[in-house]
Amino acid sequence: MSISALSLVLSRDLKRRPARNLLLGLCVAAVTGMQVAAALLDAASRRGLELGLARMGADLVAVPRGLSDELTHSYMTGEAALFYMDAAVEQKIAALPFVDRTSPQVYIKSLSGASCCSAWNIFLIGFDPATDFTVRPWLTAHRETPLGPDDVLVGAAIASEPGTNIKFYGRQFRIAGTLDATGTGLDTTVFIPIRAAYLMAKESPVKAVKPLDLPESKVSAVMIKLKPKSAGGSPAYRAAYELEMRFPEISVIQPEDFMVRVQKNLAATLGTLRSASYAVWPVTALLIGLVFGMAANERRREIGLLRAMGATRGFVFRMIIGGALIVCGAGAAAGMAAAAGLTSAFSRLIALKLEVPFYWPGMGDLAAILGAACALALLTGGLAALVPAISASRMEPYEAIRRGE
Amino acid sequence: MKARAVGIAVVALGVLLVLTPWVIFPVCGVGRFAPGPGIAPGMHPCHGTLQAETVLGAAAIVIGFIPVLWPRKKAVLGASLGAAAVAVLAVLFPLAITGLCKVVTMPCRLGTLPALETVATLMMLAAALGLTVYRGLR
Amino acid sequence: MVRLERVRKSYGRGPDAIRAADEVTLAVRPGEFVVITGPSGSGKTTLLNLIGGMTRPDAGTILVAGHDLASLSDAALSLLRGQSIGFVFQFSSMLPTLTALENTRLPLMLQGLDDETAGRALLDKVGLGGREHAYAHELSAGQQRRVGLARALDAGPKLLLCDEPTGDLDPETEAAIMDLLVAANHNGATVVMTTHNQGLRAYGSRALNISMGRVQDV
Repeated sequence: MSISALSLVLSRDLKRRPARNLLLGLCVAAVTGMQVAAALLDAASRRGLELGLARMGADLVAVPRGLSDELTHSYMTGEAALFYMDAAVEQKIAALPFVDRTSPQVYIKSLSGASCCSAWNIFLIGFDPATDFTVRPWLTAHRETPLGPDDVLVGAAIASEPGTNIKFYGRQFRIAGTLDATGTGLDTTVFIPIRAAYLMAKESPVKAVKPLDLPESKVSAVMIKLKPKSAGGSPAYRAAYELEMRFPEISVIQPEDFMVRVQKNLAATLGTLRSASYAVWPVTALLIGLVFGMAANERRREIGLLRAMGATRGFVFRMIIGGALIVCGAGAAAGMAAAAGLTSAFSRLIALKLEVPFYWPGMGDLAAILGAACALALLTGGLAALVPAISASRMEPYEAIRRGE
Repeated sequence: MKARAVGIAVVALGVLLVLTPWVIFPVCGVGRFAPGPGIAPGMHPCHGTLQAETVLGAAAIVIGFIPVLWPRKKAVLGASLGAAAVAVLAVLFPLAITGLCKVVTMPCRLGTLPALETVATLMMLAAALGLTVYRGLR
Repeated sequence: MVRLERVRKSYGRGPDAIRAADEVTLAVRPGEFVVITGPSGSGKTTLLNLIGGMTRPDAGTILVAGHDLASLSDAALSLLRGQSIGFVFQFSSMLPTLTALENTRLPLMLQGLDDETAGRALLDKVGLGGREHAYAHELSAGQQRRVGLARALDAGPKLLLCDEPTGDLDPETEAAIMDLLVAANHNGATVVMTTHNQGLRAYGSRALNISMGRVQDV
């Protein structure tokens, strides 16, 4: 097969009308970019949610009645949720037959980040190291090292090295470890032992710029691990219902609540991206068909000359389809690169604004997303240029030369 | 025409480089992000980056105008190499030289840094395009 | 080399149809240099294109190098054209996006072969040595015609079909092109050339006249 002749003719033809090819390529890039951005956002939020929920470890979370949304919001954004309920509720929950374990958490908003700008507060979570099952398993480096009374664990996005000190409300703490990234608001939280949190609050009128009002009789949330069904446990939805019936002062959050919230938050953005992409796609396909049809018409005489030199119908067909595929392929590559690059660079801002988790998808998912987008672009280009390619290749060589004069 | 187009692209990106940390995605303490309690404007670490990007953007504007006013081969080469240098520095300053605030939820990290990275990437593409144009010029 | 038997080709339909070839019966022996003269619209170009398989007749048989063109598939016909037939057109036939050398090498490249040295030698032969990298817009009409001739000779064709190869050229360039065709003929190629210039009959070994699609010996 005369591949070198094809590549020579193709490459020169593409350079012939750079503005037209660039415009087509940009259209394909825009459509592909929107598709890829939507798919990446969807996949990244799902992955972030999976990791975040796995990090939480709890089957259910009990919070003061009516404040479920506050917690899910702070979970997504990392903004501190400040609410408290009677600490005694934990024991009541733990006593239920379908509950395996419980662990309390206390939520605090810091006054200042230790060694950086103070305009933005950090979400502090007081946890009980003795009963905790949420945070400990996820320590990246100090898994078996017992935590000291003033040792804290920081989220992956807090730029501080383990071993350094950090101060909250006038009390010094030591960073004992960094947690794995989840793509959720948990990445910007600091986990403090609950005893130290209460002590910090007690000492704050003296040591801190502003006192922290946090009595030891209060907790913000209770993490709940249910027994497996074989050991007398209940499905999460039934356990949640039971808990809310028995304890009217609490609301119970299930993992599905997070999923529903994420889907709700994403719906508008994904909908817009996808609708725009679906609307513009047929227009782009039509444009490709028209442009390559026009190009084939303009080049009738050349096509006739190539046929005179021995080019087959197949060569002419491949020449026109090849041009369309190259333009669409280049446009798709640019669109994918732009979408992936911008989504990655602005991921944290996107996650904050949309209030969704964001963790970059794995290689398999990424390959599938990019592969699908590329395939669609090439298929569209090939199909759109099919009619002009067939028409040009079927023309009698002498007819092509005559019509091209 | 092509030489002027390269220059115009570099000028436009230079303007974008200046506007990004001041207006589009302002750093902490600038524009729509009022300084925090007890912190005066300019005390944020990202303020140094703000100043650096302003200078780099202005340099890109000047460099870009040269092939616009004098569309010759050497001017295009100079503008392309200059744009490439500006692109590299535009990313090096916030990441390694002047730095940014440490907390990732600060505006400079959320918006300014990714925007600067984007503009720097476009600037590098403009530089590559300029070198292609340079090779094609007589 | 070429045999036509009762070949007919018309354009249009009904009483207004134009008979470009009207019951043409013709034989060209290998090594002949046939010059066909006739006025504009007499069917010269159509005749050459029928011989080259560039258009199909409405009726009749065309044999080229022993092949019945009607029985050949498009691929086989394309191969025949690429290997055995060289076309020289009356218009500038350079592909505008390729250089003179690339245009010249194209027939062999289309067959999956390539010989840059041979291409350069051909351009030298037609008097364009040193202009290998020029594009069509950088060459004069006469120079472009020479590139067309060099390209027609690239694959070493047995049959050269030349449709008014010297039309619109100055006498000096015309003479140069004709000398090149004579040289190609002496090297073994059968040449069939059409022209409205009766003065060029002297270059050929045989002269024919065509009028309203009918061919006769002069």
